[in-house]
Formats: sequence, C-alpha cells, structure tokens
Amino acid sequence: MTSRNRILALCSSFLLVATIAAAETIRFDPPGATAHHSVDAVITGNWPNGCVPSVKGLSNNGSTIQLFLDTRVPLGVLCAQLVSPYTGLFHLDVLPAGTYTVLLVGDNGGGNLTELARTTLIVRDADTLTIAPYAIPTSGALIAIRDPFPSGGGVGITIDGVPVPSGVSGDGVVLANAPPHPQGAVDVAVTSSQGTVTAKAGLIYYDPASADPAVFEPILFPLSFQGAGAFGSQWTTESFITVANGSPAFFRDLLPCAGCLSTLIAGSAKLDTDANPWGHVLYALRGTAGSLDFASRIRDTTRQAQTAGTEVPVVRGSDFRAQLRCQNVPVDSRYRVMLRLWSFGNSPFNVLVDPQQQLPLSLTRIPGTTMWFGSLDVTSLLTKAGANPTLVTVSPSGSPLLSPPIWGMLSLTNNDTQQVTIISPQ
Amino acid sequence: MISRARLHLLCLCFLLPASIAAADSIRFDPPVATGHTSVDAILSVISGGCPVFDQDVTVTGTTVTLRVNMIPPPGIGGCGGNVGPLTSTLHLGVLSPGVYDVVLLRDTFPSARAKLIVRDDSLTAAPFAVPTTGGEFHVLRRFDTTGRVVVLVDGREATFVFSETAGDVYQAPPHAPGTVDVSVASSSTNRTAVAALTYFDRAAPPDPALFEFILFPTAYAGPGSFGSLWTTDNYLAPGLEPVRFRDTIPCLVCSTDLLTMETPLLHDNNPAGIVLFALRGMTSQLMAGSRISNTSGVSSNQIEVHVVRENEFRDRGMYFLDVPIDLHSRVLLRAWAIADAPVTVSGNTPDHSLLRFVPVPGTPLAFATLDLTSYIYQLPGRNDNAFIYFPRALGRDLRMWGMITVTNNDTQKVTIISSQ
Repeated sequence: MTSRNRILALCSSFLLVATIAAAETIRFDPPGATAHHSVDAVITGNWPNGCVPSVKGLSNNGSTIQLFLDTRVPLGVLCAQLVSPYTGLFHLDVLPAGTYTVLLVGDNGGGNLTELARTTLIVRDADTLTIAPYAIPTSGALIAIRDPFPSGGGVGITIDGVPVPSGVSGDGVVLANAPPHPQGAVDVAVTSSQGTVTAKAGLIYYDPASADPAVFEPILFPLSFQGAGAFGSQWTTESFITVANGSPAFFRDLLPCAGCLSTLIAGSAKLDTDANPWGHVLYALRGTAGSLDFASRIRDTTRQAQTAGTEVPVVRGSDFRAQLRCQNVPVDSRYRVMLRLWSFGNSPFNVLVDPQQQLPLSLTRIPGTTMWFGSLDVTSLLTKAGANPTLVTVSPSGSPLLSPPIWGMLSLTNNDTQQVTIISPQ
Repeated sequence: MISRARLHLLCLCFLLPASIAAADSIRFDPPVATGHTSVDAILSVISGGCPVFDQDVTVTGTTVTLRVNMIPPPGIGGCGGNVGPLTSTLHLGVLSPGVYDVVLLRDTFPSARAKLIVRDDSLTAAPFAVPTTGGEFHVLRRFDTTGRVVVLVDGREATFVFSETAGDVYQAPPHAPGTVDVSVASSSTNRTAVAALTYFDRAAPPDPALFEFILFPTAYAGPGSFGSLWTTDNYLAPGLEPVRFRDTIPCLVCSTDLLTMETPLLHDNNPAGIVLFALRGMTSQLMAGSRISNTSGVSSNQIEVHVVRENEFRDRGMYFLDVPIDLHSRVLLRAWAIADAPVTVSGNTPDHSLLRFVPVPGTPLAFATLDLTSYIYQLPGRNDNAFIYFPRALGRDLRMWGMITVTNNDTQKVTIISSQ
C-alpha cells in the first residue's frame, strides 16, 4: 500500500469510527432507574459489516460503567460487506444511587478499545425521602418532602449541600424552595435534632426544553379537533383527565386547559380543543401518571341525536410498539379512512395494505416534544385491497432494530352517517 | 401480662371480621422474575387503623420472610386512620434462581403466603412453561457445543425437534406440576439452569405466576333491544414470535394452544366475555382486536371494544369521566374485578347501588353489570355528560376494569366509555 493510500485508509477509518460512534445508542430499562430496582442497558447500532459485535461484559467503578462489546472478527469468517444493525443487552443489576457515566466500548481483543457511545444514567434514591415532585426544572421549584422523623421536627433542608428556605406545612410535610441548579441529580438532606437523613440523587433537575425519557412519560390524546368536517359535519373532541385524591400528578408543561397548572392535585380537568392534527402530547413525571384516568370522545354535533360519538384511546408511552398492525379493516366505498401515526423518532415508514399496496409515510416533529407525527389518507389505497376485510400495517423502511417505537390508529368515517370507527393496535 | 403485640392483634380482630383479617395478600412485580431482575413484593394488609410502622425482608435459602409491623411504637398512642386495606411495597432485590416460599408476618403472626419463581434464563427462551403432558421449549445457542448435545429436563432427556435462528427447539418429557432445572451437556459444555422450566396442570386453576389473562369484554352475537342484531368480531395475532396459551385457542379451526397467525375467535355469548391465558414473557408483541356492530340497519358501523390486559386492572377504583347523557339511550356498565369470591362495591350512583361481582368460572375474574339508564340524569357531571366512579373498595385489594355502553334506542349506535 502506498503512503498516500495509507493516509486515505486512515482517514476513512477515522470517518468510519466517527460514523459508527454516531449510530450507537444506549437506553435503559426501566428508563427512570431507582436504587432498589435492577437496570438493563439496551444498546443498538449499525455495524459496518455483517460480523456484528456481541456483548462481552461490563465494569463499574462506582461512577463510570463500561459496557464492552466484543468486536473481534471470528477466525476464518468472511464478513458480508453490508452495514448491519445489531442490538445487545447488559444487565447492570441493582445500582447504588448516584450519577453514572455509561460508555459503550468496542474491544477488538488486541488491547484496542474504542468508545462507541456515551450517556448518563441517574439512579435515584426514591425510598429514603419521599419528595414530590422528585424532578424539577433547572429554574428551581417548590418541593414537598415527607418528614422522615416519626415524631416530626425535620426543619433543615439542604439541596446539593446548600441550605434552602423551608417550612412545615402540616401533616408531616416539609416544604422547601429548591433553588435554580444545572441539569442533573443532586442529594437532598433533612436535618432535625434527631439526626440527618439524606437521599442521594434524590432530586433531579431537568432541562424544560427537553423531554428526558428518564424523567417523563408521554401521554398522547390523539385527537383535539373542533370544527367543520366533510359533508357538513361539525366535530368536537371532549378530553378529560382526572387524578386520584392524594396522588398528585406532575407534568412538564402547563396542562392545556383553562386555569390549569402543571400539577394536578385533585379532581378533573377538561382539555382544550385546538387545530393540531397530532392532538395533545403531555409529559407526565414518571411514577406519577399511574394515578391518572383519562377519557376522550369525538362526536359530530350535527348528529348528536343519533349517536353520542366514538371513544378515542388515550395512549401511554408503554403502548408504543415496533410495528402498527390494524387487523380486520373493513373496505367500504362509503368510508373515508385516515391513518394517523406518532413516533418517538424521525424515521420513514411504509404503509402496507394487504396484499401489496404500499405508500411511504414521512413524519414531522411535533413542536416542543420529542415525538413525530404524520397522517395519510388511505381511502384510495384500501380500495385496491385484495380482501375485505383487510390488513393494514405500518412498518419502518429501515431495520426494525433501529427504528423508533410507534403508535397509530385508523379512523373510518361513514360519509352518509358521519359515524366514526376507530381501529387501534391493542 | 399480655404483650403489646398480642394486645394490638386482639384489638385488630375485634375491629375486623375474621374473613377480612385473613385477606392479607402478596403479589409480585414482576409476577415472575429472572436471576438478574429485581422483584418487589406488593402487600395488601388489612389495617385496624394503624399504618405500617416498619417492615423488613429476610431471605434464608428459598424462604423469604416479609415482616410488617403495625404496632404503634412507644410514644404514639392509638391509631386513628381508616380501617381497610393498606398497600405496602417491599424490595426483594435480585434473587438467585429458584422457587421461593414467601411468607408475610404481621409482627410475628403469619398472615399470607405465596410462591415466587425466579427463573434462570441463561439457557432457555420462552415459553418457560409447558403442560404436564410435555411441550416444546427453546434452548439458546449462547455457548460452544460440539458433538452431540444432550438437553436434560429435571434429569430426563428432552427430544430435539428442530432448529431456529434463536435456538433449538426441544420437546420436554411429561412431568408432574412444578418448576425444574434444565441442563445442556456436550463434549465441551455442561451447564445447568436452575428453575428454568415450569410444568403446569391444565386442570388446575391458572397460575398467576405463569399466565397473564387477556380479556375480550364482548363476545355476543344475536338479537338486542329495538330490533337490533349484534355481532362481535374478536381476533388475535402474534408478533414476530408465536404466542403460547394455556388452553386451545377458541377459534373455528384451532386445535392448538400456539398462536401462529391472525385468528378470529369464536364467541359463546358469555356476558362476561372471553378470558384467555397467555404465557407470561410472550405477550409483548401480541396483537388483539375487538369490534361490535349492529347488522340490522342499512349502515352497520363497527365500534372498537378495548381488549384488556391484566396490568390495566387498577386497585384504585374505576372512573368514567365522560358518560354522555342522552334521553334516547340505554346505559349499561360492565365491570370485571380480580377476585375469586363474590364482592360488592358502591359508587356515586344516587342510591349507592352496589356493583355485585360474581366469579367467572375457570378464571381469576369476577363480573358485574349495572343498568345506569335510570340513574344517568341524577349523576354529577357537566352539561351533557356524567361522571361515574366506583372508588377503591374498602376491605380488600380489589383491581377492577370496566366499560359503559351508551346505545341510542333509535339508531342503535353505540358509544363506549372505558376505564383509561
């Protein structure tokens, strides 16, 4: 090899490593880790050839966790020169509370280690102190801490070692003003004459412009429309959210309803309607959405004597899947059929109607969220279906391993009666 | 002299009937664990008004002792809280594979007991349970096996069936109910996975450690009120992998418990719907659908019915936030509860009418209906809708799910309002 070629090869290797490094992702299961639950790290990526790496092992020095991938090429194996998706699972076990730097490292067995990806894992102490909310914006906020001392008296609060103003609100709860702080987890300590109780990494400061999946769970109300539709129809959407008494739910943003805050302490709220085709995307603090109940219904007000409308499913983050599959879809020339799709990432998708009718579907980012949305009128596609009823699937154009989770639904609207049938993945 | 603990128990027994005092229960999250996942024990304990003051976990061999102390510590007099169920969570951490006998002690007195399976999944993949008559399971190819490979199930050789991408499929021999070890041996490898496979008895009640129930709330075909004629389409489809059920799938041409393709289900007009039991660990990709339609009219639009997974049953009651009030409609509540005995709950209906759950044979569920047509106008709500709720049942840990159908008597159009 000439020196010029060597330089080119070196450059291309450098580029390759950079490309690979950009393609690897690390996510955690569960996304919001606590100090009493085991954590798995799930890695995915694209490898430049068919000899994809395998899980080798991990090391943990208390602040840095290295996940090692065995990148050796098996002896005597010719690797297909094809970029190949891969995935791997590392069991991190139960980790002590704290903030960890997690590195994904390629190990070729010859002493060469290559960093492929890096991220931060916060393991929160959720048991020593009960803090609500346990995550606040970097601008600071009021937090409530259940007094850890049986006979009361917890008066001194420190956050990240800094004393903060606090007061007892009654019923064994201490209120404290958490000051502004950079993004990340901090220790919270409550001191009284009986001692000091500290929750390591007990409070998380988040960037309000992001929607960190470790902190927030998305809740999707798929429809929020009010206005005129086809054939003289007048639509309205009624969406409600309620919370069980004593279990407040916290949200990243103000709830989209009159006079609502970002906290729902008790009772219910009716969400506003708007012109957004993607509905409402709410971000609830993980662990607090379990106390919520939802309702959503769309109806044509010009025909309310005939029907009270159709229930719309309200979707939690855990309902998102790798593929959308709507079975038993009726094919009827009287129906107009709309497909709506939401995704946790930007990726092209294919809409397939049995047997081989196919259309691409591209998505656009929903402002202020980490979710993408797209819709497609599939009325004409359905008329070419080979069977009635038929099957409609939405699949990623690329590898399912690397594609973001999706959720979607079909709405079939009868042009004569304006009756809506919703078909959703269950 | 009577001890504080005994005195407290005496007070508790005086406050609560024996049947309720015996209702302490333990369940696990996740219901079946592996040797690298942590487990929580979720306790439901009947309180005489006192909270849980302290609790701890002791693991000795395959016995896990959960202890809760509801005796007021010195300095605290009586307890003035509500008499009823308290939920408490104990972290068991990551346990070594095995079958554990988990005992709940209230102070020193046993009040509940449960079995916990912690599976070693290093050699095998789903399904992790087979009937006592034997069945197929997957052995992973994660290690070097040269020469003849012998797979032993509790010491008895399993029969090789075929190979797949993910591993090799073997047929486990018949065995009595229980959890057993699986070994893989070759000239270069000899490994054993503890508690890797569980045999279940199809004639016994479904074991919640092994099976997750899936509820199709509607399974009706036939005439209804005002000349309506109803049909229900229920169907299931696997994801990338087949899904194994406890029983033969109820479909026209099904003769197996393995779901391999989209399958329409038969319905038997049971008002409690269809309850199927899928093996845990195989249901994440399972897809289901359910729709009802009135075929008597010119326009027979379908209405989607929610297919309910076990984790959608909640222990904090049922809330229906937006029940339409319509002069021309009949309104019926259908509700299911995880209960093995009759139980009643009351809600915000004007006369506090009781929702009477009756066990559904062969399932862990109980079912209830309540005609709300005559109440709907008297319920709290907004302009043209009502808010109906059945709060958490006092006296037991009751997980419920329900739906309300509002059917227009003139058009037979149905609107479903479900617990979401």
